[in-house]
Amino acid sequence: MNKSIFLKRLASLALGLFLGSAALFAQKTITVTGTVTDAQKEPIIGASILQSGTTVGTASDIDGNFSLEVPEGVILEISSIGFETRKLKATAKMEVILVEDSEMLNETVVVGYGVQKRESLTGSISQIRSEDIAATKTADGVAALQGKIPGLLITQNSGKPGAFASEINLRGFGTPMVVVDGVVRSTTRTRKSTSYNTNPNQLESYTDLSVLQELNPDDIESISVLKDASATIYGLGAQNGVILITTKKGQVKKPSVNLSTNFSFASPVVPRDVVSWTEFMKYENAMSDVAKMDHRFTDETIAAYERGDKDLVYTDWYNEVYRKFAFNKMVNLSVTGGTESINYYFGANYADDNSILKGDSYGYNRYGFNGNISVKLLPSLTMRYTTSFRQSSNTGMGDFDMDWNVFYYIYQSNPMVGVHTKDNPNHYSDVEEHTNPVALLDTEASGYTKTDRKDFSNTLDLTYDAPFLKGLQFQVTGAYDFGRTKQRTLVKKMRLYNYETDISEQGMETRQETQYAEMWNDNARVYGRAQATFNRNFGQHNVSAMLGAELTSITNAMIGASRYYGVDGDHYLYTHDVINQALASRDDNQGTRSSSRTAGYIGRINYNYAGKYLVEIMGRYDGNYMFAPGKRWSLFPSYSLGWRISEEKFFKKILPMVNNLKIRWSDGFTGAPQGSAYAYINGYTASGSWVFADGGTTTGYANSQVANTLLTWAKVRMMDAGVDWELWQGKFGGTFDWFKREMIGTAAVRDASLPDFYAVSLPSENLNRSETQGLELSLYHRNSIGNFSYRIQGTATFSRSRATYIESENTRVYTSSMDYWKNSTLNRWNGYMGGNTYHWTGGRFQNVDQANASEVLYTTNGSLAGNRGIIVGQYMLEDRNGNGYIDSEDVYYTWGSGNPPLQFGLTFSGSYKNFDFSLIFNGATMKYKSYGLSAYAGFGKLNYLPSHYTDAYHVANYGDDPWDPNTQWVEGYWPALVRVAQVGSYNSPSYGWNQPYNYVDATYLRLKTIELGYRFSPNFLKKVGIKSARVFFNGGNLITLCNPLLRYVDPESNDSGRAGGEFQINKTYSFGFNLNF
Amino acid sequence: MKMKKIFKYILIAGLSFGLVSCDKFFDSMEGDLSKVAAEDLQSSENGMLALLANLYSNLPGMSMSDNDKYQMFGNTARDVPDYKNTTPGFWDYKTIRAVHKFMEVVENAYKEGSIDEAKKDAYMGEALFIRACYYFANVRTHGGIPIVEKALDDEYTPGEENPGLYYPRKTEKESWDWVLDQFDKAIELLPLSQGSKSLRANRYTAYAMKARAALWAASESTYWDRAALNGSYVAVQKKLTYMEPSYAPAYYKQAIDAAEAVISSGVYSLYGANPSDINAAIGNLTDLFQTFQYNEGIFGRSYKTGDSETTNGTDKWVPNQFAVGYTGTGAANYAATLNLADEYDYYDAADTRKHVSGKIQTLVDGDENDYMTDPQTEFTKDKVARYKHYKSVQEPFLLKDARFQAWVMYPGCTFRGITVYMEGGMVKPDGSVSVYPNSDAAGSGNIGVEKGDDIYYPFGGAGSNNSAFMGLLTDKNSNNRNSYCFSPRKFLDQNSANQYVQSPYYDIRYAEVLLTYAEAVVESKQGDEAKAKQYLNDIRHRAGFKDDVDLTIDNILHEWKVEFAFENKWSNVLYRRRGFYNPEHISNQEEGTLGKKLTLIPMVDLSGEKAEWIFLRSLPMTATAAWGYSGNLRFNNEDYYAQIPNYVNNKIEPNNK
Repeated sequence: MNKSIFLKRLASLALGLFLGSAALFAQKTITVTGTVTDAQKEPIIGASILQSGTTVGTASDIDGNFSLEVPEGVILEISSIGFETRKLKATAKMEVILVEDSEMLNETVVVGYGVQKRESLTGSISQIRSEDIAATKTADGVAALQGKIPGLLITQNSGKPGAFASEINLRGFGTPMVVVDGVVRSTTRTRKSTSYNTNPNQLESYTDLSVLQELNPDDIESISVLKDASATIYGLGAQNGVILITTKKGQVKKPSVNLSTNFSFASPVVPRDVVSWTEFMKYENAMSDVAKMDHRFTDETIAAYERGDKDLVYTDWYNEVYRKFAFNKMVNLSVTGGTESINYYFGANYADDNSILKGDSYGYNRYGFNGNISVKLLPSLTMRYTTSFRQSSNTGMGDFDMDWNVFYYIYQSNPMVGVHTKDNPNHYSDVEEHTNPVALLDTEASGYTKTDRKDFSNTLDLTYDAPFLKGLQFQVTGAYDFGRTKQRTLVKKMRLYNYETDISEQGMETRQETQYAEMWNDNARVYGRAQATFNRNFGQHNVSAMLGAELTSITNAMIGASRYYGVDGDHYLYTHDVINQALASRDDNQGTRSSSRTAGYIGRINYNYAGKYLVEIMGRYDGNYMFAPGKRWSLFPSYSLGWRISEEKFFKKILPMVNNLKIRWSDGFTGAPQGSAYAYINGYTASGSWVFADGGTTTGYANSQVANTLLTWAKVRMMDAGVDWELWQGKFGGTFDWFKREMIGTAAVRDASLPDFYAVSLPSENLNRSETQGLELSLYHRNSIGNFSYRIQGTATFSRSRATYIESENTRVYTSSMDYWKNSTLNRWNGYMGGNTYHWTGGRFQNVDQANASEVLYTTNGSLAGNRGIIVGQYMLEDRNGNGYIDSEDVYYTWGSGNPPLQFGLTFSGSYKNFDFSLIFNGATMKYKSYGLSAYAGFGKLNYLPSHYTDAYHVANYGDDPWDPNTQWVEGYWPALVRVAQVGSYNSPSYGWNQPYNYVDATYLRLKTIELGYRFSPNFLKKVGIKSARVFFNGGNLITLCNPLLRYVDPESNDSGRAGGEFQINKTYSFGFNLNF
Repeated sequence: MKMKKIFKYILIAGLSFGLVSCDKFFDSMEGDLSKVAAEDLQSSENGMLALLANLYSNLPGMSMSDNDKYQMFGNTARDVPDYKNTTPGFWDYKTIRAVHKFMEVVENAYKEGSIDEAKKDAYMGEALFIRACYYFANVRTHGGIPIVEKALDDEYTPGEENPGLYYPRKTEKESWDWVLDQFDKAIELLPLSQGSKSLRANRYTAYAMKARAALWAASESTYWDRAALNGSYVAVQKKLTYMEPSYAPAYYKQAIDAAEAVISSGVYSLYGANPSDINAAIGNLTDLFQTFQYNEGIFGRSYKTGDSETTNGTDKWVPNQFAVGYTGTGAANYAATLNLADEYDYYDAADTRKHVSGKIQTLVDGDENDYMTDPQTEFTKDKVARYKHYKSVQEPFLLKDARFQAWVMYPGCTFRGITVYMEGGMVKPDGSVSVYPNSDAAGSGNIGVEKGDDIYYPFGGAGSNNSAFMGLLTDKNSNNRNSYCFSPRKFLDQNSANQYVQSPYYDIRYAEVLLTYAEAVVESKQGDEAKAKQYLNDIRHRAGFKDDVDLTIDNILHEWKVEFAFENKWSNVLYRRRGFYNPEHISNQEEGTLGKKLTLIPMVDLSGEKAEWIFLRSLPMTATAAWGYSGNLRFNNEDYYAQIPNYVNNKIEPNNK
């Protein structure tokens, strides 16, 4: 802070104190005029301005203005729902800024089919507001929630544009259901298979979470997460909890326009650091020595490159393929306003996410439009229409095989070969394995996959306040959603040419012929609900009730076609990427259709006495089309209880600073659908085919199962015990929950040990059981010191699961306790990876003789053969079972590499005068990464050596024979590097097995987001007709604390630091502004 | 107010409408679109054909990729009888149930009147034939088997004892007898023809298959003592895995009668019998495997599905040189051994066409039992003179049996208009030798040497990765190498470089029926010896030979090898005749003798006046890597039987305990 300003402030403070004490004696009355606004300088309508300790007061008008006569110097309490109450000394001119508070007790929280006051909640429900979501600038809506909501376990797996590879898991239960404006909008859909090495016609089904992934935070009012039995009101399928998204509604005010933008520069989170080419050539030769292979580079070649001979080719493939950074944009424009009888909100947004890889192979962009309009048809009848339209385009490589391998291709490409041939700049050269990574990224040359999605959803609500009974309201909701996904895939035959000769030989093409495929996918949902709610207070008895019925009908249809353009010999030509222009004789098409229906009756009663004793009872009678008539319907009841101890008189006396202390308990049932629909009907399915006469195939049909009339949904019991507390009117607070979910009767085949002659698979029955348990903690603190106000929230979630009954375990025979330990999962908490890592004795092989003399053998056939392949510097492994050799019985477990079971987040945000900031940290532990030297990395096969691997055992003098027992070695962290003949093959246990040094604890803490904003002063802005303006800088993933070994490999994502890995997640630097006028 | 009331009623109606029509909401749906009901299948012949298609597609051994055809191949290690690795799916009660379900559908269709009695009999005959084929595969791999003759769907009640689900094993002899009897029942019902150019089984298919099964039972009985099992095994005591020579004559009789029924019908014949010259023979023998020849093919599988992307899988067998367009599909997966090449006789001359021993002459002194295990060190400069020098790389193969030329790819042969390189080294002009010179994938060791007007390469041709032995040393364990100098040509598309090869696969050719007759006669002294000799020589004459050979078991075994190379038949011979009978070593190439898989390394010799070629006999570098499926070079008599799957739950006796 500027020193002179600080002095001025100090002086005025002193003056104020003096004047204040003087006023105390004078008891003069003053007229206070002022405005109440929120942090964005938006006027707050109807804020209460009250002289402290009296009933004298007023309320702010539509522009936030107020005027009040009070004795000079008194304290005014300014409050409004959803904002923190402020106590300020009355002065003639007051500009009061109220800070929004998401944790306020009287805040309304969106719950299933309604809203509730936070203070009367009995379930475990977290709510987050749009500003907190928007603080993280990313096109991936799931990533924007990371670290912010207790209970949500989120890991970002890759930075591939539009891939939305963030895993989301609620409390370890699984992927939650997503409900937007009262309608379930996450569904199962079909798409082109994304697995390795597939053809464009292969399909897979997946849970579509795009409503969450393609979320535009600026259009969101709030997101609440139902984590316990409170989710069961959504019935079958709600076993993993529910995320409720509520979009912004119109407000009663003058039209107000909001514009916000964000421009960001993204680069991989882990920097590239490799040894120079000349150094690499020597390392490579040294690796060949270790592998007993011929040198790849002659001394003359190395010398020539060291001299820098002009005619030598050196292609830096990494730079040929990577951009310095990717440039991404987000723009959002919204308008809201209205009167008592009609109000509206409309928002439009655009986002794009570009690739860090050059060329036009990868990219993502979307346009979105959200809006609603609410009309009072009659004084007691309101109609609201909500709509959302989203269009997104995602581009990727044509061939998923290439998609998976592009990084491998970069690393294996020979720098001594140019991108194009020597003689023809239009001919891509054949670099290695008949590929060329630059050509792969050129869609003109290699093809593409383009996915275009359009999602259109519409909701119409009618709300009727019954005049004949106070507190009774009826509501009818209808929704119609329609989505279409179009996927176009072109996989081109790409011809490559010999770099030197410019000749293309047979085999120098990526595939035999060009193929084009198109797939259209239509999805529609029709939803209807009628409900009645009753809400009334009878003295201290507060009652609310809800009764409703709903129906959902979903239809999916897919049609796909593909054709080839013919092989060279047939002189066919690639023309355009239009099905009709490829060969009709080489066509392939497919189509499917399916539909599903569900229905349910919903009932809920809440009762509380004086806000102290809280009871909620709910039930759902659910029907599902999947099952046999008579077995389709079931009742799922649940209840929850709460006691607000802080409302008890005795408590208020003892601990007056505790303004809230509530203990909660919830317990309820729902169902998890499983198995396939119509399993109760026996039938024949396509199986095999035969040619009865040349030229025509007959598809075979077979029946391999008996009708399944036994299996139904798994019964799910969700329990939660929690405590919420808050002290000093919100300065400190928190919640703590213990939760448990039991899955009773998950599908399993009865272990009847039937003879093969029965020859039918027994149908699945509801036999197995599993449970998930965990703890969840959230702590917050907020305060204002002068103009500095801040808020800190920390969350942590720990969750683990186990199978408590496995039918097949009954007859399973374990050959040893090791076998049991490795393979049995019954009653075993999950999260561990299969045993595949070895213990390290602490020693390392210092020379060849030591390896040959080792008492522990490294192959199981009892000979020293395995030891002869041991490389100097290799870690000595522990023979845990003492049988004399290292085998699979010597392994131990590590934590897995997936979505970690313990995750934490920390949000620190605040403002000082016109500045605001927010810091969001996210971290996880109980995660390991497999990383480092391996046969898969293919050392010596690749053409780059990451610098950190130079810290390896190596011969003291370049060129010494590594297999001579007299050779001197220099120690290092890694064993001596060795060249392998081809990727995946190895001669040494160092590479073949999962060594202890390859498994690194991936506990990390990451500064996910840092945002610094500056808000321009309103006086200045008014002159240019702007209500408020803010500029900001935002950084994403800038700092990560983790094991130093993981500086080269991202601890969070799927990045394994190896060739063949996926896109890393990005570090971003963003700038942007928000304007309101 | 009125409107409000109406609204109220609408709401109340809305809330309650579901209650009255709960299930109707679901019943009005389109239902299950992923399955077809049995009623829909039995109401049309196409429905029954769809069920049949499934049954045929699961027939054991009816495909190009069936494992036990690799007997003659170099790169795969099918050297010992080991059913664990070769016969998944032979214990296939699921498909047997499918046959029974098909029989139910046929019965129902007949009852409903959608087919007449003749149709019903034809379908039933086909079903019995297919079921007999499954049980034939089962008994030959497992010994005596449980025989289930109906679907057991209704026999299971949860939590009960379910005695109706359990079937004991019959003795091996009972099982064989039952299988042969089933073929007879099928023969009674099956039509004489299923129409022209149909690949469905007819009466003669059943006769031919019965002949094969009867010969199997007969051979196993005759040679039982070559691999008799330990008498302490319960399965042997109960005769579940037991045969004896006294059973043989009756089985041979059945084989002779069934074969004779096919032969005397006149329906089938050899394709291209009595060719005018060797080239005509080569042409006929090539054509035979390009399109299904219905006069010779009694039973088989077509890959001409109407979909141009269907392949019989043999596209991978081309030498590396022909691997087109894409990497990683495993070109040159299989190579043929020198042992097989030696087996094919020579014609004494193109006009007389009498047969001469097929052993390829490599050494001047004629000691063709001499071979090298490490040619890189063993073959030295001073040994060059010991080798017989040829004028061209293909010279040693030009007068070989037409079947060799039509069905085997050899050094210097022409395939799809391209010369096939299969060379592995060079004697340089200065006399120094080099075998497999630094043959990494980049081909850096393949350096051409000028001689006269031509350039000669150690690997035959210029460039990288196109020669048989290229990359062998650094890639020993890879399948993608022709480490054996010869490779199969029989099933490949001869003209087009199409990835999708659709040449047919014959399960039973007429030639097999002829040879079955001949073998049964020789072994049993039953039947007509003159006919048997004629049948044996008919096969040879089709290959261009003009002379006759005697009716001996050796001559018959020779024909099994050369006529049916790559067709799964030779390994069947070794199984049924208990032919792998040396307990210490791998034996495969010749019945009952030690066998080592040899290769030939053609090398150009530039040390003389003109370029000439010599041929080294050698164990290829991959030999040790390829031997022994689980590193175990021994095999035991027990290996002739597969383990009984799941015998505890099946409540039956296991084998070998």
